[in-house]
Amino acid sequence: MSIINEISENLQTGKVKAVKELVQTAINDGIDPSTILNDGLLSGMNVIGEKFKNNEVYVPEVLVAARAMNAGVQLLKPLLIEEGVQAKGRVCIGTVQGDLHDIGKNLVKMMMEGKGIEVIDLGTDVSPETFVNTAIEKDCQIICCSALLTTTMDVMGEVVKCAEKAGIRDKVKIMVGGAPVTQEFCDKIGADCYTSDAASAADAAVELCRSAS
Amino acid sequence: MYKVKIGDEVIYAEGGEILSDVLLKHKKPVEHPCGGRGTCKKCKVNVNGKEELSCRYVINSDIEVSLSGTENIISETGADTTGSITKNLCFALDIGTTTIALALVSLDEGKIVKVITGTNPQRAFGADIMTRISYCRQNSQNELNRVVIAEINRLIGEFGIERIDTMYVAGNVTMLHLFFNVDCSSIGVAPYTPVFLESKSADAEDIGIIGVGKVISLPSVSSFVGADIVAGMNYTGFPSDGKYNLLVDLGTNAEVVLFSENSGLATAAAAGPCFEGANISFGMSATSGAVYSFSLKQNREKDVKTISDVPAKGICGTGLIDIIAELVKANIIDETGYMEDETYIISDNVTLSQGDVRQFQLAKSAVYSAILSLIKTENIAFEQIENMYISGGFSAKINIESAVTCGLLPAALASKTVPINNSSLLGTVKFALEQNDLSVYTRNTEYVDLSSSRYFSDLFIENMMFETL
Ligand code: B12
Repeated sequence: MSIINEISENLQTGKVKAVKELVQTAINDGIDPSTILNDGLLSGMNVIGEKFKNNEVYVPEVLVAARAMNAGVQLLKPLLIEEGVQAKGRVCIGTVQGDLHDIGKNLVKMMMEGKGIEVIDLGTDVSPETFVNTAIEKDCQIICCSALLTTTMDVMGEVVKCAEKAGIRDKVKIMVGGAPVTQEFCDKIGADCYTSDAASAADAAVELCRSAS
Repeated sequence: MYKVKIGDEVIYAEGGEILSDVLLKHKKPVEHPCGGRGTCKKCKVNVNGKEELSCRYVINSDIEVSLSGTENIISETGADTTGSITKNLCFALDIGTTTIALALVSLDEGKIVKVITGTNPQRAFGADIMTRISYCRQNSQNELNRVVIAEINRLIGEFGIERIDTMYVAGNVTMLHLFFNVDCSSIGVAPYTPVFLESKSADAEDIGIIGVGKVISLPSVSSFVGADIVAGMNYTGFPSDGKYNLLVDLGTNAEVVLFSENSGLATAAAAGPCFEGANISFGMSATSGAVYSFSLKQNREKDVKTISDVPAKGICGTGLIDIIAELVKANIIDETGYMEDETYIISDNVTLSQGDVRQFQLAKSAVYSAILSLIKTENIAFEQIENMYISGGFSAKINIESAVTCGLLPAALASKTVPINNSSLLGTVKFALEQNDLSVYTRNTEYVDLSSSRYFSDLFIENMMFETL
C-alpha cells in the first residue's frame, strides 16, 4: 500500500498518532504537500463523510477521524502556505443566538474542512450581527447557521434580514441546518441552501463556493 | 369552501387550508410529535383512499377523510388504590407532557381511592415542550391552556363526585405555566427564565377548573427541573446518612437528580422523544399492537410480545430498549451502532432501521451521560448511591438488564434500580397527605447546566457507542 493510502486508511479509523507519523514520513520523502493533503487526508475524510451520509458510521467515528485529519493538517499547514495553496473557499459557521447545541455544527465544520474549505468557527449563541460582520470582515462566501431548538430556528431568518440590511445579500450565500430545520423552512426565510446532514452540507458548500468564484 | 367528510360528519374548510389545522379547529386533533413540520410522519390519515400526512395536505377540493381511531396511551401510575370514599377527600394531579393522571385521595384513610388518566391534548401542538412553546409564541397560548383545562375537567367529571376542596398539582414548569395560563414564552429561549418556580395557589374557578375549591401547585427547582421532579424526590425521600439517591425520569426531557439530605444536583438530559415513539420509523406509544418486549433465542428465533396480543403495529419504548439490547448482544448491531443490513425485520410489517438505531444512540447516551456527569460533578462513587429510582410512564415495564446492555443505565447501579412509575403523581399524593415542607428538596438542589458541564460533552460522544461482550 502506498503511504498516501495508508494515511487515508489510518485517518478513517481515527489513529491520530499513526497519521501524524505517516504524514511526517511522506513530507520527509519529498511528496508534494498538496498530494498528501488531497489524496491522503481529505480523501480519507471523504470516505468517512460518505459513510456518515449513509448512516454507516456515526458521530464518534467522525470526530476521531476529524481529529486525525487535523493532526495531519497541522504538520502540512506551513508547507501549504509556502506553496501558496489556496483553500476552496471560506465560510463562517455558528449555532444561532439562544442555542448552545454544537455537536451538529462541529460535524458540519469538520466535513467542510475535509473538503478543503477554510472554516471560521464562531461557536454557539452567535448573534445575526456577528455572522454578518464576520462574513464582511473575513470575506466569507457562505454563512452557515445551525439551530437545534424550535424556538431558536427563527434567528436564522434574522440572519438573512441582517445580511440584506448590510447590503451583502448578493455576495454571500446562507446555509441553514439542524434537526428541526427543513427545506420548506429554508425557503420560507429566504436562505439559500439546506441539507439534512453534514456530509451533504460540505458537498453543497463546495458547489456554492465554486459558483461564487 | 370545501367539504371535508369524516365518517358521517361534514366539516368545512377554506381552499389552501392545511388538513391538520382544520382537524384541530374542529377538535379532532391528530398526533403531531414534530409540530407539523412533516418530519415525523405520525399524522397520517386516509384522504380519498390514499395515505397522506395531514400536516402537509393542502385542501383544494372536497375530500373524504378517515382517521384511525386515537387510543389512550396506557400509562400506569403505580398507585395503590385501596382507599374508599370518605368525608375528607382531595385531588392530586400530575400534568405530564404526554399523559395526565388525576388521583382521588382519602385524607381520612391516607390512601388513594382511584386514579383516572388521560392523554394530554396539547400533543396535537407538538410532542415536546419546546414545540408547544413555539406555538404559543407564534399564535397564543390560550388554546393550549383551554384544551388542558378541558381535559382535566373531563377527568374530574369521570369521578362523578361532589365538590372537592383542594387539588394539588405537579408537572414540569411549562405545564404549570400553561395550567395557570401564565406566559410561558420566556422558558423557550435562553436564558430560559420562567415566570414562577414557587408553589402557586388559585381559586379553581378563576382558572376554569370545575368542581374544586382551590388548586395548589408544588414548587420547582428550575425551568427544566419542575414540580414533577420535586414531587418525585418527595416520594422517594432522602437516603440514609452519607448516601445519595438518584432519580431518573425517563421522559422526553429526561431529568436526573442526585441528592442527599445536605446537597443535590439536578439536570435535564434532553434525551428527546424516541422512547415515546417519535423519531423512530415504527415508533408508537404504548397502545395496542405496540411491541413492548422482544428477545432473540439461541437460534435467532424472535420472541415478539405486543400489547393486547394483536399483530405488531409498531414499537413502544420498552420494546425499543429490548430490541436494541438483543441486537447488540447478538452482534447484529456492532459496538459503533452499525448494522450490516439497512433494516432489521421484527415482524411482518414492523422493522428497525439504521437511522432508528442512530436516534436511539443519541437518546440513551444523553441519559447515561447526564447520570455520569452528576456523579462526577458531586465527586462520589457508585457505592455511595443507595437507590436509583426510575420514573416515567413506562419505567415499571423496562427490562433493567436490557437498559444496561444498551447503555441507557449504568451497570453498576442495576441492582439498586427501583422503578416507581409516576413518581410525580405519587409524590403529590404524599404531599397532600403529609403537608410536609418541600423546600428541603428545592433549597439544596443546584441546577447543573450540561451545556457548560466539564464532563457532559465528552461523555455524550463516548457513550453513543455500545459496549459489546
Ligand atoms: C445532546 C443534546 C443536548 C446537549 C447539547 C450538548 C452540545 N454540546 O451540543 C445538552 C444536554 C447540553 C442539551 C441542552 C438542551 N437541550 Co438538547 N438535545 C440534545 C440531543 C440529545 C441531541 C442533539 C445532537 O447533538 N444531535 C446530534 C447531531 C449530530 O445532530 P444535529 O445537531 O441535528 O446535526 C446534524 C444535522 O442536523 C446537520 N446540521 C447541523 N447543523 C447544521 C448547519 C448547517 C448549515 C447544515 C447545512 C446542516 C447542519 O448536520 C449534522 C450532522 O449530520 C437532542 C435530542 C435528540 N435525540 O436529537 C436534544 C434536543 C435538541 N434538546 C432539546 C432541548 C429542549 C434542550 C434544552 C432547551 C432543555 C434541556 N433539557 O436542558 C437545553 C438547551 C441548551 C441550549 N441553550 O441550547 C430538545 C429540542 C426540542 C425542540 N423541539 O426544540 C431536543 C430535541 C430534545 C427534546 N427534549 O426533545 N441538549
